[in-house]
Amino acid sequence: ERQPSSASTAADESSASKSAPSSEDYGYSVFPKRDPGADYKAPARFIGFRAWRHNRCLKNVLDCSMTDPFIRYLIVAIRSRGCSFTLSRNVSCERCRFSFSGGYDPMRKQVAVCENEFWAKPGICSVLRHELIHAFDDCRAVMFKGADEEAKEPNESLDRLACTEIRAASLNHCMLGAAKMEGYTGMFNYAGQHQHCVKSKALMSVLAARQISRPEGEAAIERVFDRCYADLEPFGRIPASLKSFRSDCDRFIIDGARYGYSIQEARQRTGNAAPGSASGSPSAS
Amino acid sequence: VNPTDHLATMPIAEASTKPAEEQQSQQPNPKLDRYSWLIRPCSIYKEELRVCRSRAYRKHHEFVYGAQPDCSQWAVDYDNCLQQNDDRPAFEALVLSEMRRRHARLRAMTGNDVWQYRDQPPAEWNSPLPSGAAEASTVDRLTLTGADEALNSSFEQYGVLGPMSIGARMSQCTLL
Repeated sequence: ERQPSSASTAADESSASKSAPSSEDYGYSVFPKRDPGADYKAPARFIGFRAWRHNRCLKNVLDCSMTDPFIRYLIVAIRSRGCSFTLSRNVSCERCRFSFSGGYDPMRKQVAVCENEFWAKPGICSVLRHELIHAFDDCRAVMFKGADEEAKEPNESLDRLACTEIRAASLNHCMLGAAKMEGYTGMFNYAGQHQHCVKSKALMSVLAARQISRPEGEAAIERVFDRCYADLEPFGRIPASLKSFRSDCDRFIIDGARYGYSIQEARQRTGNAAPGSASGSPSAS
Repeated sequence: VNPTDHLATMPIAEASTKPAEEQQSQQPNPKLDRYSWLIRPCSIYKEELRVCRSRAYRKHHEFVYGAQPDCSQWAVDYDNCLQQNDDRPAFEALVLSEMRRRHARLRAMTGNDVWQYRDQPPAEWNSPLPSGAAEASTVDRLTLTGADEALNSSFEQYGVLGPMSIGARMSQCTLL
């Protein structure tokens, strides 16, 4: 199925506090509801097109979580790591400023799904898959250290962002058919072009999330590419198709159970994830 | 860059310190018995072999790695799986192969030193949302709370794959 071609995802890392440089807003300007500095009040819409669109976004988020095996496996993987993932607390449908499709907010640990551009099911599923990879990486590793420390070590935070974007691009996007349609490869000259596609998409995402120049973004991606391209968790393989039965027959789910990504593990680590309950209790496994 | 395939032929230090040719003529190695859980059901090796030989996967592998896929290891593993109960060297070879694959995957993960892996999940993961711009409205919270229960019960009832929707096709899998 078609990938959303133009809009890229954005907005990792926290917004600017008073001490951080004012030029770097870490992509939070895209999501007006999340920027604590702005006096933006999202007006509630109960009738009209915006209400319909918002409800359709919520419905599609639920549909994607119920039917898409990649999304369900990612949710199980996040829960297996001890981070309770629930739709009410960790996913939010909201209107964004520019032509983005979504983002992950590590300050509030929320996946923000933009309902501007896409609200049909394929787009929402694609956005959710992409942002769930960011959430998974945030759950298992330190992605964001606080605005002050981010200002002190800009290269390392940029490397972590580039790593997440490389993984999200290689595991969710850049399938052969989509890469052909979007022009990342030729019709027949496609050998070894997956890396080119992944680097291009990761570069687009990194440039959208940070106020850096293109050569800086490219340098960051080159620094981390080998290590991050090889890290295929939680799938363990690069999926060949959006329909898992065409490429994998959901074998990544069966294999994942042996690496700690299973419903039993999730139940043990999070205790069925009631919102507001304390997470992160160390399990005895 | 071919991330993990070159590690699949690496010998594992725990199994034996002797080179691979001498391993097959050795006495049965009792240390491998505790790793028998690594062996998957034989239908999975058959399915992996079928997918590896398919045209779609061949194109995908060329796209990603720039070379033809090598399905011989899956064929060897499938044969060994069928004979594992009768043939001790087959069992040991299969266990070693699975150990190599597991080693390759875990090594790819731990070799990613761009970030520091956490011991505990972040403490602020489930903290309540700050009252302010990002707070969900009351209507949203009511809607999504029902969605929470639906999602959790669907995991309990149907497992990872979820209920079959009306538009779901019969898959091409030979696994049942």
